[in-house]
Amino acid sequence: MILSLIISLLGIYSIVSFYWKLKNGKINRQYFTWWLFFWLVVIILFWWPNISSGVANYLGIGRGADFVLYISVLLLFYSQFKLYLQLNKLMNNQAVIVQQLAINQAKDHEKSISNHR
Amino acid sequence: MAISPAKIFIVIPAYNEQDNISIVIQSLLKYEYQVIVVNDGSTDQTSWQVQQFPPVILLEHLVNLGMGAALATGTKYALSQGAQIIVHFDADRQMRVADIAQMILPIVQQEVDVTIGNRLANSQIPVLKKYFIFPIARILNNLMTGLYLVDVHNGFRALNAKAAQKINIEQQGMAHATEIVQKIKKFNLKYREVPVTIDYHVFGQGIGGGLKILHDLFLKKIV
Repeated sequence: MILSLIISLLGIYSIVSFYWKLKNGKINRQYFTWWLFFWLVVIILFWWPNISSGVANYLGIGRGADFVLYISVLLLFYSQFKLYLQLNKLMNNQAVIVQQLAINQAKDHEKSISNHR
Repeated sequence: MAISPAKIFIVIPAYNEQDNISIVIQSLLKYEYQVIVVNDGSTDQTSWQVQQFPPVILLEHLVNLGMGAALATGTKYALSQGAQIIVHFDADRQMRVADIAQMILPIVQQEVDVTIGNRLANSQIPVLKKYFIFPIARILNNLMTGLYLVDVHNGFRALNAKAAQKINIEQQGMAHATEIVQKIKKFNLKYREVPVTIDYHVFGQGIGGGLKILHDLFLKKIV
């Protein structure tokens, strides 16, 4: 009961804070919807844990807690992979900028030398 | 085909090579090649050392990107300056300047588009590399690139302008060496391995480096 209350407060705080970020244009609607969905599922499962057991039985997993654990691990893997891709994209963009800067700088240098001749 | 030495560009990626870069440049300047050093975000005096040789073109990466990225920058700049042959050369004094003539000869004679150094004939190679790392790397390289090379990861290579334009190096790290071979196959470029001498001062890439290359190549496949 106490844990459910704490999780609910945490969830509500997160949803409100994401809502304000959405309002201020710091995140997009898709991102907000995903976190809203996530926290609503977490809150519901903490207040009515039998739901997860029902889904677990339906999928043949056994215990509801196991079902939640499997899903969490899968989500963590997925988010880790997404982060990895984003980091890779950022590094590639950084490389393009650094490389072009180096080339431009050298070309400017060559130009200034030939102007002095 | 006669190629003026002024159209032959030597591209040297350098990261924290203050102890070696001057010696390498001095030996290169005895010839009439154009020399490009790409200082890949060094934190030592590499850049200052290069600036003591005004004929050398210095390209500065603001941050360290990796050898593949540095070679890509140098190659792109060389092409913009009308390079007809581009030679990739190391800054750590392991490669011999005298070998450049042998490396570019098949390209000058229009027999091939790319030459790749082969250190196995002439060099004293560490035993672990020669009998353990290289045979495994040879098999993996053959599986990944479809080309059979005796020396699969030699950084000493020369490319004509056509090959340099086609081979856009995207791998920022050491996996560029495999990527280049993959693209030689992809673009159906003519290539040859040329015996060169590598003077080992340090061991170089070990098993960890090889695993990092596999990781980078795998990542490129899925991204």
